Amino acid sequence: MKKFFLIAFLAFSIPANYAQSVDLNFGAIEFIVGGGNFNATLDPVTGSIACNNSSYFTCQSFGTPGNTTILGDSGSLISIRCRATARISNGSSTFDVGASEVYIVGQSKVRCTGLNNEILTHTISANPSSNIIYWGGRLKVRGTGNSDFSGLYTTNGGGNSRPQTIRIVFL
Amino acid sequence: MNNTTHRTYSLQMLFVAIILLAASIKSNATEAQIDASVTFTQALTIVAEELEFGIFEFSLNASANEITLSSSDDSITCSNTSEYTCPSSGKSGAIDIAGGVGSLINISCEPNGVVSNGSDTLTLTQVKLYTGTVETSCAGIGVPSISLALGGLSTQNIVKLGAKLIIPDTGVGSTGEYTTSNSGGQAIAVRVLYQ
Repeated sequence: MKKFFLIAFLAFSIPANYAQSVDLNFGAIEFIVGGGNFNATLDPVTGSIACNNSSYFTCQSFGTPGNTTILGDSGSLISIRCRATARISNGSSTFDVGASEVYIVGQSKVRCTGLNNEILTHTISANPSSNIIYWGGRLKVRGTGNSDFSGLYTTNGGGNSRPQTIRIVFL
Repeated sequence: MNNTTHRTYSLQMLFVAIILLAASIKSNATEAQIDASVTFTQALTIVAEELEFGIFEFSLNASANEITLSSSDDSITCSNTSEYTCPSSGKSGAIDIAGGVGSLINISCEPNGVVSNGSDTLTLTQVKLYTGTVETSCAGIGVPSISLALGGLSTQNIVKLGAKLIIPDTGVGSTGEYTTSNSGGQAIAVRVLYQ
């Protein structure tokens, strides 16, 4: 019995690594039907939103960058990968959130290039606020024609929706 | 515990430990899912049509008159028909509203306005809205007079306006075209908001 407990203790002494997330939110966007294509880019550093086609679309000046907090032992080195594109849907129409960028305080924001491509490394800090990965991206409205596409669109809204995935690898 | 049993027990514990170690070694990576959202709302657009009382003739030194243009049937009623020649009908004003089908909106409006010929003014009052079934008085901007759900057809979202034109005891003052856009005039304010 002593052997069993000793081995079990060694097995579980490797630090756990997991993360908590906050949704990215573009807020409310007003549109006039038939306005054509539209882009809204949310900056992960400032949360500001830049929109085009202002004759047909009105967006907020600021939204909420998505973010996830890395929890792990201080001093641990991690590698960060992420999807280039997420997708939001209302169950009927689907739009891309592409040109994804992530940002950690103290580093420059970097474009995501897929879950198998390391784009950033980070040493976990004892200060939790230094271990937050912020996500921003470009909402692309395409193919709406003259339809009323009002509604709430989310990455779990059915259809082809897909959330962003941040892959964190402890090195 | 004999040697065989002891060996079996040890192997079982070793097997469990290996599994635990393997599981913990494989846990050096994790994935976080981050959701995203946006709410799209079709903008309210409004096309307004002018309210027109028409042409009135009046005798010299004509006095007061109250001229009502109905929002529901465009009819005109004059209180003083002895000194004024009033048309039987005019053209009610209208606001044609476009927005998200099924969305609920509130409409509020000022109960007054002013028409002017550039030198003299006359008061518009008792402004009313008509949805096609219900006529309601305006109670001021921010105080909803009408709430309705936007329909999918453009004809479903038209609200008409009527008002009363007040000519005081002193009469019209001077002839000419009186409008809210002339100097001294004041248009009837209408506000449409999503609920």
